[in-house]
Amino acid sequence: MKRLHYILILIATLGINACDDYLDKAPEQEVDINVVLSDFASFRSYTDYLYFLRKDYFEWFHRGLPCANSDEAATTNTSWMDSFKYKKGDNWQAADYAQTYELGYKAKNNKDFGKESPVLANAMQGLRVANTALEYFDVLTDATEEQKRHLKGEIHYFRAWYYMQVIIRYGGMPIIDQTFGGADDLDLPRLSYQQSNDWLLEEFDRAIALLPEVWPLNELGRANKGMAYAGKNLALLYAASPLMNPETGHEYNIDHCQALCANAIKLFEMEQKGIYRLYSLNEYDDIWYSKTKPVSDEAIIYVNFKTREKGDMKVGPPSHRFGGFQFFDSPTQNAVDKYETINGLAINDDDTYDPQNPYENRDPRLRKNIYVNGDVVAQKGTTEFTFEPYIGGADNPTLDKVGGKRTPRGGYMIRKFWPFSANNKENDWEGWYKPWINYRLAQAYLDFAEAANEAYGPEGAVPGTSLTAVEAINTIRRRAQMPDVNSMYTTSKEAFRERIRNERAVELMFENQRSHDLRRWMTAIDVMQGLKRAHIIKNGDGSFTYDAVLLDDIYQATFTERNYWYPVPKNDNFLSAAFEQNPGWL
Amino acid sequence: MKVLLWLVFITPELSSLILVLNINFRELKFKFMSRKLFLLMLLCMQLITVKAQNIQIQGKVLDENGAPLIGATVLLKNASNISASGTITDINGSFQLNLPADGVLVVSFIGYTKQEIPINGQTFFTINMQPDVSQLDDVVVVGFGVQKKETVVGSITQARGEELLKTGGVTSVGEALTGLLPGVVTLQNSSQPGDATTSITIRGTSSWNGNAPLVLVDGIERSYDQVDPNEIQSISVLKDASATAVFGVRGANGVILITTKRGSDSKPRINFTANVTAKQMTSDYSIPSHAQSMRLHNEARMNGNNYTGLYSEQEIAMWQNQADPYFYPEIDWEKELMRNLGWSQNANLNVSGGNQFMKYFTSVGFTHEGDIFKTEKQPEYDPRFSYTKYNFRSNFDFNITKITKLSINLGGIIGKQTRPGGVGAGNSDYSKNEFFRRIYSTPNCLYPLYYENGQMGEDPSFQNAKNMYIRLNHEGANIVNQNDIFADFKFDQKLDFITKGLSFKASVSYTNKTKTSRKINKTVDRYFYGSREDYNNGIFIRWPDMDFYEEPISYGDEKMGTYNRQLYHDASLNYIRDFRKHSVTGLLLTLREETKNGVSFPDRYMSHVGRTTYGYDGRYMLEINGSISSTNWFHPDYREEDFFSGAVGWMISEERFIKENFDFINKLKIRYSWGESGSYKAYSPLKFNWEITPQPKTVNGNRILYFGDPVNPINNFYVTSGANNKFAFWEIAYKQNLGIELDMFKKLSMTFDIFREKREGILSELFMPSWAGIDGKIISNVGESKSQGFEFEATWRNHTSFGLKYWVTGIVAFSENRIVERGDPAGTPEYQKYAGKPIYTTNGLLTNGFYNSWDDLYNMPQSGWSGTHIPGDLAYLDYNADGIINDVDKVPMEYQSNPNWTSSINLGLEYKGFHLTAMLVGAKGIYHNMPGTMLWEFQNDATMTFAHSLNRWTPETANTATHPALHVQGDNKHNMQTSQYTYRDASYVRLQSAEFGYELPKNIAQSLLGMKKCQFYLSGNNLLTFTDFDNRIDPEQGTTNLYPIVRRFNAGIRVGF
Repeated sequence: MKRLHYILILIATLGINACDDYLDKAPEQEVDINVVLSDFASFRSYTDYLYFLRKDYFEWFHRGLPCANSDEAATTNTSWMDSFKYKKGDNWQAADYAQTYELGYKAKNNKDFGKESPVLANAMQGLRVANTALEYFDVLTDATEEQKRHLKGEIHYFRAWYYMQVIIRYGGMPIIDQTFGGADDLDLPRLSYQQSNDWLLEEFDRAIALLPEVWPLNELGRANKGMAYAGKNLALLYAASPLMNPETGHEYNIDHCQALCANAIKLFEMEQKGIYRLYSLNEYDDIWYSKTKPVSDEAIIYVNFKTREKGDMKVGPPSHRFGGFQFFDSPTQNAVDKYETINGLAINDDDTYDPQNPYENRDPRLRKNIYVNGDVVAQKGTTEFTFEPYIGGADNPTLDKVGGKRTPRGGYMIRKFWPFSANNKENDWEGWYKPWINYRLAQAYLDFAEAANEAYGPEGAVPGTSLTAVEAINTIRRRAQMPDVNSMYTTSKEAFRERIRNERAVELMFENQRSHDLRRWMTAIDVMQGLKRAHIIKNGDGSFTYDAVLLDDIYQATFTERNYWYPVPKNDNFLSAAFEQNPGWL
Repeated sequence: MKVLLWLVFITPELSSLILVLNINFRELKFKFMSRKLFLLMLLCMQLITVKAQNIQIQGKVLDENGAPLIGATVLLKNASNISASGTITDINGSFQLNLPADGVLVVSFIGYTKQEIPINGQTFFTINMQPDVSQLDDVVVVGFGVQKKETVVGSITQARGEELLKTGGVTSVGEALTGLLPGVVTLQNSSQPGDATTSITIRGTSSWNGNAPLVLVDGIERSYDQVDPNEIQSISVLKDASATAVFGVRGANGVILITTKRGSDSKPRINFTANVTAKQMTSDYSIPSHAQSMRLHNEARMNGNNYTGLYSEQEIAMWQNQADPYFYPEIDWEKELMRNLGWSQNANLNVSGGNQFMKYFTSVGFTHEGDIFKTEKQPEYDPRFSYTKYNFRSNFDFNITKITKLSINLGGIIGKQTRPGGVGAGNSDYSKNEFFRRIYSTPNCLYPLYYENGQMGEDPSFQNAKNMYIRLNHEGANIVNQNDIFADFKFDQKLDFITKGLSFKASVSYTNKTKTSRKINKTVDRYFYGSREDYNNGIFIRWPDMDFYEEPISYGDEKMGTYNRQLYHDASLNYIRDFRKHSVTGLLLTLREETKNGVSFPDRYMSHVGRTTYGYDGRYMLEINGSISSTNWFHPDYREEDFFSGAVGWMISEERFIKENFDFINKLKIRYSWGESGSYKAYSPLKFNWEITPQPKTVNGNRILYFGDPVNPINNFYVTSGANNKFAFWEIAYKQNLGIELDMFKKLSMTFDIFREKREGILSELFMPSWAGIDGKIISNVGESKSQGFEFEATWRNHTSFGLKYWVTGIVAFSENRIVERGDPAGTPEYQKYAGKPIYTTNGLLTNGFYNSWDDLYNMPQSGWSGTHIPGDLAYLDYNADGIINDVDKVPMEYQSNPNWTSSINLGLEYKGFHLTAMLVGAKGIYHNMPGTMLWEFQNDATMTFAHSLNRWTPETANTATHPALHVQGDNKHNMQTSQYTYRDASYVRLQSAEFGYELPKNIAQSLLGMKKCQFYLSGNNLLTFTDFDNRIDPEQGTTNLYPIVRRFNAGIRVGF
């Protein structure tokens, strides 16, 4: 009996080990979603993630701007830059690659607010956050009715905005209005673009109904009515465009054009109220950056940002010589040739245009947007640093061997977005308000002009406004101190269409509109061919001889029919037989 | 509250039955778990000993050559007092003892067959010892205990400490194990001082979540790379489920048990070893001259129809003539960066001994590893790659009472690692891996290392073109200090007074590892001159900046790096007893382990283990193992699992018909096992991601969200971690093993094992549509794999009449695996699915030679990649026959980085104090994807080519070309695809180690220096490699991202007192 007693004591020692608490996690490790979302402040901390998922193309990680996806610029890096992949049409090459912000779709595992993730991955993640927030919206009790209304408006706005980012690249998609999990039916067919767009427009309408026109000053930058109208404008513009209307043989969709005109008028009304305004030519630079104003009055949809160090400013225009990244985008001759002469004529139509003095007497926006040969790019004390894109100059575009990457391949440098003092001579990198502007008032006029021209003709009256297509274009031109559109260009809808497109290219140059415009117009195959650079020879007497030559093959684009739509991820296609791949992609 | 109650019923006389009932009080129901039922058969028996009269005896112990054997143990059989009834032989091999006249002498010596000699009143003995064919100890270390070698039925191989030390200069366990044990595959990853790692896999690959085995040092989970081989008594490798089931969810990838040395009841024995090593890189890196590269670059440009920017002959000549080496520089990076020889030293001193009350083993070691790069100590800091380590260990055993033992192990490591400041953390431009890769890819023609005025050269424009010599020597240093300390307390109480053979054991163990790092920052200026003219005029680009002035050196703060604590404790009941022909053992054990890394929530693991073995007459063996494991990695409802295994063995050689008819068979055993074990360390985030839970997140990084005017940053968010799967749990491996052990002629021993494994529930990422917007992964138990293979080992050990001792061991092992299921999306074309393919398979294009003409190019399937396509490009197989070669044509290639076949030959010769040992290791079925920077020319926009570039395709060399036609960077997408061309067979045969040594005759050593042993040796590691793989990369390493593998030449001494 004593032995048995002894054993039981020992066994009890072992038994202590068996209590299960040992494995239970600490209570503070768990946060209940029903608690978090019950209160306004923390609900907003959840939905503010939607703002973070927007793409700021000035983010240093991208190294370059997406303008090089089009005929506007040549990318200087050929090994891994996104634009290079886009141009070469190898969207598959880029698809998996998280650093490709325009073509990829896989979120970077590093959840640092998706800064390294592609725009599509961010958009889909944003849709999930918005859907979760709407599914749990009833949990929110500790908020005023107005707070709830505005919050719901923001969520609907972003659901529409992100869905639009997806469909303008992939084409029609299933309606993504719920948080899909492993147990849900994922065998959803792709809708047509117009079906998807219908839901998108409804979402924008819901947002318009709920959002305020202006927020208090300390909330500036939150989604407002103007953003929702602008977003809807963009959605209608895409839905009206040839690419999105295969049913009608890729003609413009007149219904959407008319709807766009009516919607754009809402923005012009807000302009009348003083909420937005077009900047004059003198203020033109202030549209993109400022030391005093977080965002210009012209911007409608934007990602607010303030630079805090050199790295925040290095991406995009500044070439390596002036402190930027080694990779950057250099405007092509094709881009420069889009600027009219000061007489309001295309360079080919104007006899006064002198090819050996190509940068004089041009549209003033040329020198606002682009640095050309001989321009002073930086200054320190009295020392001026000029741009020397001639053969043998410091910025020789043909420099090869190892030096190739940092050289402006097109013979030009972007001036837009780049404060004069932000370079490695003056080192004025910090404290700049430098929002990425997705949509600004000028674009509303351009959208309106394009739609009105299709629906009502160049001079046709548009219901609800005195503005015509021509008048809308002239509004933009007058601000740039350009003469009104020459009557030779407004003789027909088709002729004027070309001028509207040119005006749009000039005004919105480098703003990540062009590559999408070329797709929706279905002109990319032609336009992306034969990209040229400036070929400038410095003569013995210090004068220059100007010529334009084709860029090397490697900087040329390969754009084929299939590139009009991005390929959907292969696995999405494999997971569901109903989810079809885009034509031309396997 | 769930309480596990152990109910024990004991009937003291004949048998006892232990039932384990798991009673869940919350559910108020009793669960009877069949797998948790452990049955122990107990039979009682008393041993009778007879006392008799003592007599004085003496004798001499001789080896097989008739030479005296010093240090042999002579002992009375069944002696109760060892120090009174036993002794060890002196330098003449003699002994003297006072023993009972009817006793039996037991004479033993390591490596020799134990002899039993009845005294029978005799007073003088000459004992001739014979070498043992079995080189292993009688005892095998198994999970939570030891077993007699004859009774082991699991698949376990064991190496003794002496074998690990057979070659001098080996400082890591991983390297010491190379080629030693069948089924254990080691691959060297890096030779970086202080970071030299060897990956070990046991029986190949069975999961894509890592196949690292569990490593226990004295029963505690610890890393093996830091254990000093001098401290090791034995290493056991447990391969099948019968051996690993007791480790529950941690055992599926095999288990390595390292047991350290302990003291014995003897006078102090002192061992000292010292070793000095010279080392050099095994790979060889040389490239064509720059002038040659320039011509090739011109060729590449013209291949792309690109006639601008060609190098003129005049320019090429400037490089070729080297008339102005500062402006037409050409750096031989290998020569400038690598030393011919680097140096290392190590030494170990250990003392062991003890008495009846206390036994001890103490060891102290010193290691210094030097650099093979041309790094130099700077006045203010030391940027050399180096590692200095002091390690110590003290193992004590106290016999507190006759039946109570307390063991204490104390030990630790103090290490200091230095490396150049340009490497690793703290430098945003470079990650550690980048650093080593850049050594191979930095352009060599941009700037000289130094200009003639002493200024250092560097082209400021390129991150990829930084002067590597400056990176190594002039950019500060990183210093990592390492402090590891551990203490184990083990308590062993015999409970024979309850029932004979019963004991209780408990242990507590604590490990604390910290690493702190410190960075010394320094920037020096470097210069770049556009031309000779600029240089003469003093026009230069100064780097890092025109305005740069050299700042004083700055010493970073000491930062806490790794911080790891581990607390382990267990308690167990053990039973071991023989009843006539029946031998029975039993074990019941419970353990807990907590590991905490830094401030993260601790990993906790607990397990209840049971084992019982039964043997009849040394002929039939049965073993049953079980464990109930649980961890906090999974949801409470899915975190507990029981594992079970069983094994049977038949010692045929003990059967009378073998003994009588085949007396040359010393041992013939057949064993079979079946069982389960698990693996769970796959996706750590599973721990708390059971539900959708928002996590507070504070952002202070680069991108901050702003609102308002003036702007008001928003730093605090809640984010959800996507969709989660609370049903996830661990992988379960079902393993079978059939083994045969055969010893013959007392010289030959062979082991053959064949195994098969099915792995289920492998945690894998569930494929979800991208439009579901899930941030992160849904982890689910969707995977399934199977693997199989065999291992064969044979040893021949003999000695000749003229005194030559020799042995040969040959090992061949094979393993292969297939994915059965990995959640492939349904629509995936069959050839692109994971299922049916080997684990870690890579998809690539099948090559079909080159396009040999424009006709070929236009008639064969078209390339889907951009760039110029010309004759001489790789022709690929259009797998789906759609006329276009693209990603969809990529099919699984059976190229794995872990070898399928491994083999080794281990040779040894001993003659009159001289010895020669050698180990040859071979691996087959090992492939590496060549790094792009070493395969393709003109990367990083540099005009650099490689030796193989000269074998490029040109119209003239179309028949002999082995490399595609040249393209400039960015124009070569087509050829650069992963393909059969980029994958290279890295099968190798390697003279892993060889040692030649001489030991002073024992009597000379003793009389001259008072030593028991004095041995000198010369040895080498990685001496010779035969491989078809690229000679710029070591075939085991297969990458340029890490410190190169070294070849080592050692000289050393081993002394014993």
